[in-house]
Amino acid sequence: MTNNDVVLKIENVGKDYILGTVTGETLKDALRQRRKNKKGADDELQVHNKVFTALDDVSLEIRRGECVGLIGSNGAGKSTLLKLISRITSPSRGRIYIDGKVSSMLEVGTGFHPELTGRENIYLNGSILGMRRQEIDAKLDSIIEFSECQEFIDTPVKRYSSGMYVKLAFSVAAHLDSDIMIMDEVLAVGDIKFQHKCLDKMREIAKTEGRTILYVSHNMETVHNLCDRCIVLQHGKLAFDGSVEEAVKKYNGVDVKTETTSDYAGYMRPGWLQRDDVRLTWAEYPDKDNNVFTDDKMRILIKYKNIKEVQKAGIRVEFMSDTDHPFATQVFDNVVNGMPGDEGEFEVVVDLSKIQPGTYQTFYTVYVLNPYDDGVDLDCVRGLDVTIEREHIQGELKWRANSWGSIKL
Amino acid sequence: MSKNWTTVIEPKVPLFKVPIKEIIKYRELVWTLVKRNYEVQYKQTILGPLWLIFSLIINSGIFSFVFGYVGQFSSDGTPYFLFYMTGSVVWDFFISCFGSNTGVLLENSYLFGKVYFPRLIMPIANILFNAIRVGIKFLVTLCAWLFFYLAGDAQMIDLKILWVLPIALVMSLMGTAMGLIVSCITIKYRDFSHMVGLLTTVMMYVSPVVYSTSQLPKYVQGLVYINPISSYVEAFRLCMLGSGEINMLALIYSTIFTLALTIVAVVMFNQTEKDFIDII
Repeated sequence: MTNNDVVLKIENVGKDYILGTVTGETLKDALRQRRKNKKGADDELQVHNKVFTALDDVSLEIRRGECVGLIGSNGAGKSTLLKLISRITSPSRGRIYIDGKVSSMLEVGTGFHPELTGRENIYLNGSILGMRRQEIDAKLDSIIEFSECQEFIDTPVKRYSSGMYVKLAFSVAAHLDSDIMIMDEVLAVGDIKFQHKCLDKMREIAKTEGRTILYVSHNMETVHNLCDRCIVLQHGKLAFDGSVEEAVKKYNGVDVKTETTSDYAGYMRPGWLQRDDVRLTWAEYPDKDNNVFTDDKMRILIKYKNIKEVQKAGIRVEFMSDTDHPFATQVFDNVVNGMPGDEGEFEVVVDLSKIQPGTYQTFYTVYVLNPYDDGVDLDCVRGLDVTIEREHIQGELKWRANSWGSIKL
Repeated sequence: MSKNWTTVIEPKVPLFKVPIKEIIKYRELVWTLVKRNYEVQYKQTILGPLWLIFSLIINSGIFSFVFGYVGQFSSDGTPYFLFYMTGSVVWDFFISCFGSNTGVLLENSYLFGKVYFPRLIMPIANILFNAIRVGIKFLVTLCAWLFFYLAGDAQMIDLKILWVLPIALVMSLMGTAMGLIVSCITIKYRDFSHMVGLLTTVMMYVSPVVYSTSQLPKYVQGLVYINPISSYVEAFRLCMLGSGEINMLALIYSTIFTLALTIVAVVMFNQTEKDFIDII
């Protein structure tokens, strides 16, 4: 990796915003503030013109051909960073070096004019986004086809339905061609079918040789799918820069836990839980000093306390992938019994043989059967995390959990 | 560390800088924007740009009636209609360059907030669009002149008419510069957007559009020439109709004024556009 491969270099960049009204909306306000300044009564002013640091000392380098995910909660500074890179506003501190042409798909439909027809708007929007005329000519058919608006292409867009409008807008943006692309996931617009089409298109763009992509998203699955590197922003600071998996964990607030015990004395139960017949009080992996399992048997020791009488209650151990969707569950019948006030403990052995290596969250849910054999949940707690590690056996297919799921049947 | 970066983004931008290279790179955008303006203006009209011609003729007719016929203003011997028509054509170029640029930042903030292109593209597109409109009006004026010439009421046009181009250029520059300055100030102080209409009217009547300076007393003439637009309007009329007089001193003063104003406008614009999006 020589220095020449770096196409985007961000050096100690910071951006401040002034809170409140900036020097007042009218001339009168400005004059008044000035007078106040002279009097030295600037305490009040300070409240008004507080500085908010949206980005603070962010430095990073992106090389040619990399596909970098950018994640962070709302207000973490993602949009500000994108705005700086795409030169919409200027940084307060630091420098940004760019090699090549940047196009940003920050928002679809930029510069669409309601009076113009679809076709005219393609040209207008395209040239605003930096496309040459011949380029648009060449791509016109494919843009129109992608937008699914063939019939209406010569109608003013003011008569379009909102769905058609965004579809057309996305199609133009999706046909941009430049060295560095900035893509925002919210761009995937329209109905579900079209959203999938958008995402596929983005994927196609991302996989094109030599393209550098900066991809912003809240959807960890697509980040997983598209990116080979991921950056996490937190409160305007660079919190993490590295592999996608670790970044997603960081973003989810899960600092890889290695705890082998969990105390549920003060645990907040989820809001949907209506019953309080039994409460789990403790869970642990007995005889272990970390949560890494290399064999296929996971023993869990669970303690509970009865509040009402409970007969033949079972427990489910649910495995979650990063996106909060359970992908596997093992059920143990008839482990919780007792009268009000009773305390008890039991041990279950979960079979991990089909689950592929990785780190997973778990949930423990106590349930009883109602007369129709549906489960009624009595308690639910976040379980201990589990990391599965197995040695790779030579000659065996290396498992790609991102593409094939976490379970090998 | 000797890499050639295409772009370096820094917190500070140079005071006076016109990114000519970049603007040339984006020349197609200029043209597209001009076309957009044109198309938007005449969508769903039957007569389209013919409206330009009507408004010019009707305006000149009203001026001739009010100021010429009723008010008995002097027109240096040219027919009223032609006199007012030339006056409004050149005035129109100036004021439309001014008017279309007073809101250039605010009105396009939806664009500027989403994509980057050299911001000066917008005022340039505005000038071009207005130039086309005024070009059409100018042709109409030439037709009117031909009519009066054949009727024996107007003089023959000579080579002086070539001066019309540089005069128009400087006037558009002045109008644009004034517009940009107002536009930059409006970002913070919306007061100025209310002043634009008033300013337009005032400027028109302190410029010799509906009268000629020669009919004024000497000391008032001096005052009129303080207004940098005056000498251009007069010079334009002289080049076109051969009537009136030219005041070299005032012309030089106006040109220096325009250049200074343009520099101020570009500096203000550069400083404002870099992060006005945060303020709006």
